[in-house]
Amino acid sequence: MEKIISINLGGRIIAIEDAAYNSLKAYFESLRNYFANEESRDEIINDIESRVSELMDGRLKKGASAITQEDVEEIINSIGRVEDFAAQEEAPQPASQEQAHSNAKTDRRFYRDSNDKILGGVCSGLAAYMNIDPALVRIVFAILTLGGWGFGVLLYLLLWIFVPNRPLEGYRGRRLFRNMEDKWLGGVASGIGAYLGQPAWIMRIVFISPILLSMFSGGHWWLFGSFFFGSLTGTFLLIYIVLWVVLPPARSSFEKMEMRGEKVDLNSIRQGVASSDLKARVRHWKDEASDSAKTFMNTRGKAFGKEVSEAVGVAGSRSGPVIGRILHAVFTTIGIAIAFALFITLMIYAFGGIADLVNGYLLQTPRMRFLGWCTVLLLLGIPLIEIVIRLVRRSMNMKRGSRILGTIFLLLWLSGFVCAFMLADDIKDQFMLSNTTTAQELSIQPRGETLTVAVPDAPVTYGNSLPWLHGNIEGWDVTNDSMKIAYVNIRTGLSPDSLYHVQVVQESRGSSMADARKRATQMKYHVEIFPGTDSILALANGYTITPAEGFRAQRVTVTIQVPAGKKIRFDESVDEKLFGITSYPAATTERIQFGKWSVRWDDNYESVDWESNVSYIMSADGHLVNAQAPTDTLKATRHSVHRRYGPGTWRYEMREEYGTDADASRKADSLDMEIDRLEAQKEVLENDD
Amino acid sequence: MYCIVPCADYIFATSSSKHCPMNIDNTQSQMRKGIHEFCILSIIRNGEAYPSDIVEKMRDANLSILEGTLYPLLTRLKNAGMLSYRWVESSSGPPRKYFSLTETGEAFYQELFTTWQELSTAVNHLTQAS
Repeated sequence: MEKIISINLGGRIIAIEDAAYNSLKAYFESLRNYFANEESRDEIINDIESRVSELMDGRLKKGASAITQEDVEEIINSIGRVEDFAAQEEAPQPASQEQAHSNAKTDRRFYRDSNDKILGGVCSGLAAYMNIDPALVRIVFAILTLGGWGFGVLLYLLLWIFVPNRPLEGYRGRRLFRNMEDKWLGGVASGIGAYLGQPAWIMRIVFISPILLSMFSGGHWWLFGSFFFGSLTGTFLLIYIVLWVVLPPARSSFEKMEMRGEKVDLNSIRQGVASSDLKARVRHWKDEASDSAKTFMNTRGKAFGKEVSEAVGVAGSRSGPVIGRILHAVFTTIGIAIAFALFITLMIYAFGGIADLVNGYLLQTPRMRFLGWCTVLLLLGIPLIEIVIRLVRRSMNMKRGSRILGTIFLLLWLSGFVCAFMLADDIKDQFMLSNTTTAQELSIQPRGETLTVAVPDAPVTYGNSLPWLHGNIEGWDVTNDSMKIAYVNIRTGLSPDSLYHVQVVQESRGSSMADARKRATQMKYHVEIFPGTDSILALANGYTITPAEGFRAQRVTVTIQVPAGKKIRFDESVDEKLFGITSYPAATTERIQFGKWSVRWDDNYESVDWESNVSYIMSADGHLVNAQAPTDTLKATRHSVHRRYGPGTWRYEMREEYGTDADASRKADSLDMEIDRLEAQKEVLENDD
Repeated sequence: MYCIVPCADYIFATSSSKHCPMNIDNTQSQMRKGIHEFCILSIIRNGEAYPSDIVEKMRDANLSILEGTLYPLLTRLKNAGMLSYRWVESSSGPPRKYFSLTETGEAFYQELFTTWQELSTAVNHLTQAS
């Protein structure tokens, strides 16, 4: 006994047996899949539909009561099955070379798949390249995004920009779907069960197990939050939600068979369609028709993808709008620039001595060094090796390498990203907190009215220790043994008593307050009263960091407190040799917390705009006032104190210029005597050593 | 022996010979494929044609083509501006598509025709010479 139904096919009403109808439907489904690449797929399908309906009509006119399974077989045979088309498929059309490429289905390059995409077809393209289930690739990307600081998104965008777009045949085989026929929530568990050949309840228990475990083992299971956000439960919940989003629902018979890993061809579709549980569904023709009209995954997010690709114009449509082409060119240029920068970075890192410095000052544990090398070698080296291999292949006209090698490369590269993010996390920990230490305190009582601040040492200049960096760079120097930085902040405040007070505060970041303090203490910066004088405050030309304390964004602040009515003068050497801000002490100091991360924020500090060699008087309200006395016979325009190092010897030089020759010669004589005295004193000191 | 025209694209695409197996069936079908378009255009040139007419005529000429292959080919030629069609009322059921050649199609056909003549002369010459 066969059930007969009426269908509207190509404008005719056709009476057809139920089973025959199912075969026919499966046939059109296979055609839709086959012609998915075709620009005018619907038109072709419509043409074939009307032809089929014509042939059926002919049979009915000859007296058949309904179209039978055999009739459908014959008609399908005369029009041809998908497998036959593949054999008889037409040679490439009189279009472009590109189109010819797209027809070459054996072309195993990495393309984005325009047939099966949620956003840009990156995941499905990658899956087609590796011949695995697109869902698995999507899951990997989701994990990279959720667990890797959004890195998956970055990688996805890069691939979207750089990988060309093409309709691909895609993966044929067992695929992960959500099982819509047996579901509690989204059908994820039963879909995975169907994929693995396990009953759905096993998968459900796996998903629920963390909740059960925390309920029975933890003492606080009654606190909803504690088990809901318990790490395992949260992870599994997240996995479930990710899978819900990523996995397509198995709706058509085609998809259901793919879910169970059955071989999909027209015969098995016919069997699948004929099997009982599907029969019930088939009756809901209207729902099904609207679903199957949309091909296989092709609809989901397609509108969005289309919008994005049209807006950005990176979908590779060559006939696209001009602005799209411009954007494409811009992205390509950016890409080339990034690749070039990667190359230069790798070269400098590997051969330019940077690795020693970075390892010495920043990556101070074996784990961090290991991660650092992994990051550099995998993240930068792998693409370079790949490029070199490609160039060699192209120039030697060799065949493409194995896909396994490509996959291994890709995995290595991805693990390079993982290393990079782990390393970034480690480094972040090292900079988590900051702490200060007061390294030095001096009280000065000059006989005169003025304290002169000077930097006697030669300025810190870059010693050309790196082979790739040359030049006359001031304020910074680095070698493998030490790093010297001339960034010193100065604060001028009001002294509480009649003495000048000088305080050196060293600050460093670190993984804990104790660690930060330790590192701050280890920095080397010093100030002194210039030997033989009582009114010159000599600041060191910079602070030194050795690999022992590492680079942790150290800072030095020298606070000079001036008694009210007394003067302070900054020698020009301060301006020339130190880089930093001179300011009044901050009115308030706040700590800003971002989670564990803390930043010290000196609010409303007021900078001091001093001029070199000008005396300033400290007013009672803590401000410096220009004190240049007009009657002063000393037209001091230049004053410098240098401490010069020569091979084995060193001596002081002091020079002042005065307004009149008589003054100058008198003062110069006394200065020479002063220098001689200092030299003698120094020699005594050295001999004592 | 070498695969002639269609394989050239595969060579460009992959530079691998495994997609171009040297068996007789394949070679024959490749040769037939190359002239499908030309034959279809010439059938339509002789008068407006309905797809199943084309299949009939090709089959009569012992150049079988599957309808499932013909429809996409016609659509592509139409999209390329070689063909136009009009709906013709039929005695039984809905109207049918009848295809005819456009001016572009005619020019294209003439080029193919010239190429065909050159090819057949060349092939005849070569085969008779040996």
